[in-house]
Amino acid sequence: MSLRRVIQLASLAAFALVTGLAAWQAVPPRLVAWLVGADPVGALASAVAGRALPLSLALAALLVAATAAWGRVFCGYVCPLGTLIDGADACAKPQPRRVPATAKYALLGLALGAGAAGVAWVFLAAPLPLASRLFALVVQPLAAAGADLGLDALRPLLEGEAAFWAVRTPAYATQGFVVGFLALVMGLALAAPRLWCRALCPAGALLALTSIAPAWRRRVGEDCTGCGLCAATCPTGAISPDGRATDPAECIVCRTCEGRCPRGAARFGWARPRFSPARRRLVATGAAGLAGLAVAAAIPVPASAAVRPPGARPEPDFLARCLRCGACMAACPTNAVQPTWFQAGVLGAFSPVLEPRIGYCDPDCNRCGQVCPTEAIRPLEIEERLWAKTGTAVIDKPLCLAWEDRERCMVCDEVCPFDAIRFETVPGVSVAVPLVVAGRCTGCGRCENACPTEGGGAIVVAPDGALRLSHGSYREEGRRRGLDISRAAPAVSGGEALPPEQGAPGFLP
Amino acid sequence: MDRRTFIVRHLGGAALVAGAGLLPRPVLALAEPDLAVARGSDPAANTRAAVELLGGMKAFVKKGARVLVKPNMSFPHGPEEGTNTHPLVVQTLAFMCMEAGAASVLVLDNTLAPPAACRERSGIEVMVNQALGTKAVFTINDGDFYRDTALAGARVMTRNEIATEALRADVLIAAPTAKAHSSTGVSLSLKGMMGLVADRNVMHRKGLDETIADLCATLKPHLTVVDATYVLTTNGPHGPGKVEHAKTVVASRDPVAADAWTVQAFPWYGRRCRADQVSHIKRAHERGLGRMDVENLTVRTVEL
Repeated sequence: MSLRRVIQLASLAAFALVTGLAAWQAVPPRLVAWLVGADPVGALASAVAGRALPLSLALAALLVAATAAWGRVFCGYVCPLGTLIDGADACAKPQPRRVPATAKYALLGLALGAGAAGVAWVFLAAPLPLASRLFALVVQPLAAAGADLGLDALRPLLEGEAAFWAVRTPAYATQGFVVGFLALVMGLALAAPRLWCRALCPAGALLALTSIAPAWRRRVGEDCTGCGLCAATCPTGAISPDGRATDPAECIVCRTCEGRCPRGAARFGWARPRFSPARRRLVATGAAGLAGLAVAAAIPVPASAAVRPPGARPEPDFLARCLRCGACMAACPTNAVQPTWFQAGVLGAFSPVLEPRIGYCDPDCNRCGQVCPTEAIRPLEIEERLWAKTGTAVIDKPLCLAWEDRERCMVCDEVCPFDAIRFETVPGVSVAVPLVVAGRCTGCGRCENACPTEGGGAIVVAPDGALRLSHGSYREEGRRRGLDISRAAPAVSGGEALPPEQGAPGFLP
Repeated sequence: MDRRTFIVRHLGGAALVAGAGLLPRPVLALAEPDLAVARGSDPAANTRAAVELLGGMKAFVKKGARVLVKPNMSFPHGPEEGTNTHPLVVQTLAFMCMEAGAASVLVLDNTLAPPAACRERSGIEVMVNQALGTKAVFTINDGDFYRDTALAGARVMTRNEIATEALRADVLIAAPTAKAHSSTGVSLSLKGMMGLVADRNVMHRKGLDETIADLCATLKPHLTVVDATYVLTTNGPHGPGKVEHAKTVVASRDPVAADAWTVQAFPWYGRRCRADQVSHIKRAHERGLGRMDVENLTVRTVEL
């Protein structure tokens, strides 16, 4: 196996393990942020859209800088999606051929133009978020389900501690889309090698623009006979038919040509940097950029219609930054953070929402913010995170066992960590009924999660009252808004608080 | 407390009880009470004394038996809040089972709050594991630990998923804490069996009182030990509420009797209540799962 393959597989394995194992809390969360944030185009477009440059995007800058020196080594060696595409190519064995390469510049322009208008369309095609979605939302849960099946089969044989081993088996919405989209990308292998990277990938386009004059590049010596063997085998069509000229924008430095040249005339090495204007590409990028800017600016960002994870920035800022990489979803220990289809509007497709019916949001947990590469969800200290109110619980009285069916149910109160549910006797209802104290509610969804009604809960977290800040302290802002969030026990109420004619709660007369 | 200190302390406790002449064995054998009540400052000694009054753990646990202890371990609280069973009570029960020759003892609950926090902050995990010298305390919040089971004699809930270990156990010991529960009045041994089912939601939908009785027709504890060391008399099951330091442990072969006695022994919301005011206890009594007519039962009390 060539050195390039070794590096490619190591990079793919590292990326898959980090993004997948994030779900098992087995990797430092900041590592996930740095790795996914290394996507050159995702980082750039998100930084443009969010008007900010979080530190976790630093690796991306490094990769772009490396491109200026070595050409598209990211595409040839690092990109896990590129490696997967190489795998698909190895199966389909397409003939090398020339393909129109301009479309990717248009996609890059669209992404950056929309970014300038504050819209993060780049997530649709940025390679690292595409790959992390696969590992975090499809491969990881499949592996967990497999492990769980295996463990269940073994369980009758297990004794002692081992009998209580359990595998968490999370599931995610939109898995079908993730698989389908990647299947299309891989399916391009039927037409030409690396077709996605050469024709469509906006990261490929960005790196093509920055690698127009790499110092380390393919050079052809005097021995070249112009046989064209190298051009015929070049997987990205970067070599002119006579084998003498190279387009560094298309070259991914795989060095296949070196091995193919019968006379050893093609060599990679240092050369004086050379500037090739590539005017057409810049024009394509710029024109598409203007189009993206115009279209994206015309689309209104919807008001927050969805319940977001704790620490999510205000909706426009949040959507501008979010790369839909799925890291927050995988990192959520209760499976509560889910990708949504259109709950947050078309612009919010595949962005993370809280689904308390699936899992509650642990007040002591901030993993979604820790793994977020663009800080669309802010990493917070636990004391601050407690005040990052995600919404407010609302009771749907016609569904409620107490309000409607007169059952003495009080599960919502039982599970609320913030004592935000009050039980009261109201005229016309024979049992005590729950009421939400909005100022104490953090929107954690313990109540919605535990509500025993069938289907959706009778108590549901709505985005109202969510505290979403781009900067500053949640605690201070929360206090300023009159919130009273604490796990401190309220004053103990003894029997003396009840009127003497009233019996003890839950007892028959 | 290490294992050695624990054992020494327990032997001491037993000697104290025996030495005080409270447990003349021949008398015990003649007239074993329906209910045993032990009061004193040490929950471990109370537990041991109450069980000894019923004939000792050997009367319940045969050599090689598989024992399941079901405490309240559903909240990340210490015992003084009254929401969880006192770790010394659970520890003593588990240790006595091993003394009696049990092959294995498990302490299980399906917790309401996040499980690891419950195991740790209740104190039960460390105390029991230390005393037994092996891991015995587990939370069973994952569906894998349950088996769909028909509930014989049930009226409204004919099936549910029951903890596999509860179905496998030779001996089931209910070890609830005594606490108020604002929808079922109290939460004691009968209500506590809900910690061994996977789908509690259906019980809320079909009505807790009847479904608890349905469940307890299948899950019948062989020994019930109600920990009334700290009684949460208001705002249960989660608290915080008014806690009475009653320093009492109650034991019985009859879970209904143990629950009924506990209801009548403490003031719930400052009021004296009758056992038949608790709907699920009344229903369990009517179905013949036990007796709530405490006044007709023999109760032996020991002060330590």
